[in-house]
Amino acid sequence: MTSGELIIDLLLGCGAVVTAVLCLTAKDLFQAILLFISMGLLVTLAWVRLGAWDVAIAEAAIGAGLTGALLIATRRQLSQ
Amino acid sequence: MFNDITLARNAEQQAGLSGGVLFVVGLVVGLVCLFLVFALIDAPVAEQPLVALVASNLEQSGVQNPVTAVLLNFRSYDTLLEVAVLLIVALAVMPASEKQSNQVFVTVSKPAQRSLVLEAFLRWLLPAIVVTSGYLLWTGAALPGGAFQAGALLAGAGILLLLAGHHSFNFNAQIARVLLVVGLAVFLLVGAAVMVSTGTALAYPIAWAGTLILIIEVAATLTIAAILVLLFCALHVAPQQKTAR
Repeated sequence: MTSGELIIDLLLGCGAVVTAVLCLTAKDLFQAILLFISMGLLVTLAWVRLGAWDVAIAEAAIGAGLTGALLIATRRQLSQ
Repeated sequence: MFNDITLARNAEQQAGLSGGVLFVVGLVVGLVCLFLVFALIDAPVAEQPLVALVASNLEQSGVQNPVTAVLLNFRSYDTLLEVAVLLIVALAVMPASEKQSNQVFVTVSKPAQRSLVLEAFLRWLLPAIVVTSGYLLWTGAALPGGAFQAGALLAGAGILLLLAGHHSFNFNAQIARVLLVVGLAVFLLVGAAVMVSTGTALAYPIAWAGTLILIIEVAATLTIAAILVLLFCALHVAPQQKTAR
């Protein structure tokens, strides 16, 4: 484990937690949804770093993509 | 009211928690987190017997990818129940109406607002997504991939098609209902059929395991894609329907 890899891993881990906190504390709903999607992508990269490729693909497709689309559609329903 | 429940940010709930209480709660949670982190650091690295166990039995599973072997052979009962849970979710959000059941699955109509960029992009993207999904399904036997990932990708293609506004899906059509249940049905049928040769449900004969797993995964991919698109359909309001409300 070189120091470069350690820095990347730390950034990914802390970034996922920070985006999660920002997502929960965001005032605007749309902002929160976008932060949730970004968190999903960071978690995807974290899974890749852990070597869990299957989980990474599923997280990218479902956790970031589809859930994001569903949340945006739900927000549109709420604002009507 | 629903807004208040979902957002939980109205003034009453904000005033219910004073700063001191929040500080104490935060302190306790932080201390517990620190304790857990140090406990994890101090814990000795546990033996992982499962990895070796899966690797030593991989030849019997019919696939070369350990994840697929676990999901569809060693622990296939769990995956079967997952597909069943997805079907229950689909039934919960299904727009039930008898009069739509004899209409076509996909209707093509002129959208209220055309997004030309999305349309032009989709002409390139949709075939690529479908091919990629098929590749993920096929490669799941040896490399990372499989039914859930392939189904999610296909569902993404369906959602993009919906967003372009030319097509709308009617999930009460006969073929859609078949799509929604085919994954679970094929899984159950295969699981029951292998009882003839091995005597145990879902215990595939070694010679046929790879083929049977592929059959199950193809059906499961179609079902997962259909269910995920149905979820989006249940929430999505097309622009031309918006004006009618």
